[in-house]
Amino acid sequence: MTTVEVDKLVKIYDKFVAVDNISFTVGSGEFFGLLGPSGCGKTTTLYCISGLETPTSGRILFDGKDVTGLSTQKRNIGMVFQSYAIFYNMSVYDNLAYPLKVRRTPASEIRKKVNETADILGLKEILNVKGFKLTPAQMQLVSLGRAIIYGPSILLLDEPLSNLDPTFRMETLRHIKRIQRLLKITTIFVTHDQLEALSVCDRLVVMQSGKLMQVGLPEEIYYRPATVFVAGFVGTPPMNLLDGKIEDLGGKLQITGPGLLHTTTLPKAYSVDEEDIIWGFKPEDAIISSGPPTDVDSLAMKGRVRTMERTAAENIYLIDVNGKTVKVVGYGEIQPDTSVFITIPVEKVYIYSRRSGKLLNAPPYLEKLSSRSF
Amino acid sequence: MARFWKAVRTLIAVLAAAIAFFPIYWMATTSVKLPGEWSAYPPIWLPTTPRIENYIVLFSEPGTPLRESVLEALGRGFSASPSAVPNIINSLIIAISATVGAVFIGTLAAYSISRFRTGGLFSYIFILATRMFPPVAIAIPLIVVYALIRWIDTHWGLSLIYMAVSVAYVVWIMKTFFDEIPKDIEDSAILFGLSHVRAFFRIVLPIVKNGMLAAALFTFIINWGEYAFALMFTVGGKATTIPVTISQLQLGGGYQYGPMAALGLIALIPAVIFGYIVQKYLVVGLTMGALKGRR
Repeated sequence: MTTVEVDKLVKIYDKFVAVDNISFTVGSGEFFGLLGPSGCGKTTTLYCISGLETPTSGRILFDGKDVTGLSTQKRNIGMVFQSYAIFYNMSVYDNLAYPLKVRRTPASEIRKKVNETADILGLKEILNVKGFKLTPAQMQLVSLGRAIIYGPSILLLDEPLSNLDPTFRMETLRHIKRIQRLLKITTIFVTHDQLEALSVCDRLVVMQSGKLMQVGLPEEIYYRPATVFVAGFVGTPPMNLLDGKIEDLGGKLQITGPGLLHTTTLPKAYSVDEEDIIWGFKPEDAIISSGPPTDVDSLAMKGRVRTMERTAAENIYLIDVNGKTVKVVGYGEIQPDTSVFITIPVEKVYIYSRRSGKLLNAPPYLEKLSSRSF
Repeated sequence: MARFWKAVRTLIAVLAAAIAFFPIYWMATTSVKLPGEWSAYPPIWLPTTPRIENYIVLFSEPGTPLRESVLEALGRGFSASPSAVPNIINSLIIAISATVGAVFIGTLAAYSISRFRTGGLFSYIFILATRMFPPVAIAIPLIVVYALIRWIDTHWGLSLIYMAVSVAYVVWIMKTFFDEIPKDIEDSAILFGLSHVRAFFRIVLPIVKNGMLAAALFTFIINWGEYAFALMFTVGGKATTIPVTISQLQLGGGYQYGPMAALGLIALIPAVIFGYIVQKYLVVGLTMGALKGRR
């Protein structure tokens, strides 16, 4: 049981700032996510934690002890690499046994541990298969087994699912999570897939261009995205973000913007002191109707359906509003080129500063999770 | 129609194989012919009774009873060439030591270039550029230096030149192999507690073993058959190699086609054996790719 603390971490390659002053703490036994698009610095952060990269500045602490200067070999870390790093020329058995051999474990104990691990991961049948003959899913499991067999205090997962078939991903991820719970091992999971991260992580950070955007529970990330970037990154599809203006009319806040059919007064809970804003709403929070909405307290827009994307449970309509594409989730068939009205309940509106991109006001925090998001 | 083209393809393949194998066939038959038959006209395609006199001449010293008995029986036709045995041993020593050295140094250099970009693009291109000099361009200064340090006509001297020349090939072959291996392989070994050096020798090298064998075969064949440097750097005869010996058989007493063919055939043996051992690894080595992975 180990806590991991990343303190003001900076990593610069030549002149490229890969990680720009980020700090976060991972609790003991937590399944912690590092989420962000490619090149956001999440993998570099992970490598700094592993010791395979040396930070330019900042500290890494395990259980409060500074390990920044400690070599990788002495950090007692297990890691699953994106490429799995299977030793192709060795059998599954030898792959699993290797870390124990390096640690001079007695042969009888190696045999016992390899069998145990193979049992947990379901690798019993393929113990004698050579590394280069494995399927990606098997390599992934062998790689995981090899990373946990010597009882590391921290498990690092570097995009462990990206080389797998989509159908295997969720299944494998749940498998990993089960094993993580079983071993109660502090785990840091790097991914660019927000759905994966939101599904399994106890907590996660969202990164962009080396900067930390938000730390929090999956629900917080999903329902209160702290910046425009996070809002546009999480959710399937992510939030619609549109330009707007907020005017203070004698204590009443009014929102206007291109495409909006009428001015709407915001409820009392909102307090925004910036004029230029970006307002947003989640695709599943809007309602589509063929006639103009009767509810004047909601935000309303008129648009033309461009196309419809079918997903398993519902459809995503791509609607042209004033030259911008807005995505709305709904049910039923709507022919392309149909004129529709979009109504967004005012309590579902997110308001961001156009200047800083920060969240100025969000809908009242949602305690219950909606069934579609997880 | 398909059968017709298949027949044409087969015919072309057979023809190509025949052209490739004809010199070997001719060499093999010549090595068992007697002096009068070497350049007889019309040619003798298959000697009626194979004779081993060429080999006896090749393997015995002039003046020894064995050699004298051959000369007595067949008279003229054979010149007083010295035994080729020491030169075969020279060839083995020089080619093997140069190959081992070049593969060792070249593999380390290739790893360094592949992983740490040692020397940048310059060193990578420059190493191959060393192969673009004609040997004579560097032979003269080398001879001067070698004469000064008394390295001419030594095993060590020629072996070092071969090593320097063939290390470029090894670097190029091995770099492509190392490039194929994700850096994650070493990283994971380091996480298990190995040092980087041990991770290289214990984990990476076994994976590129096939590549090293391929590089060794390639290097060995080049060194084994090299002529120009061997001719210039073994004057004196203490370190003369097989290719030079073959050419010497045509001096002093006319062309010794029989012994030349016999020695040529013997020169083929190590390359064939080595190639046969390595070929199955070669295929595995070349198809091992498809293991992608990056940071």
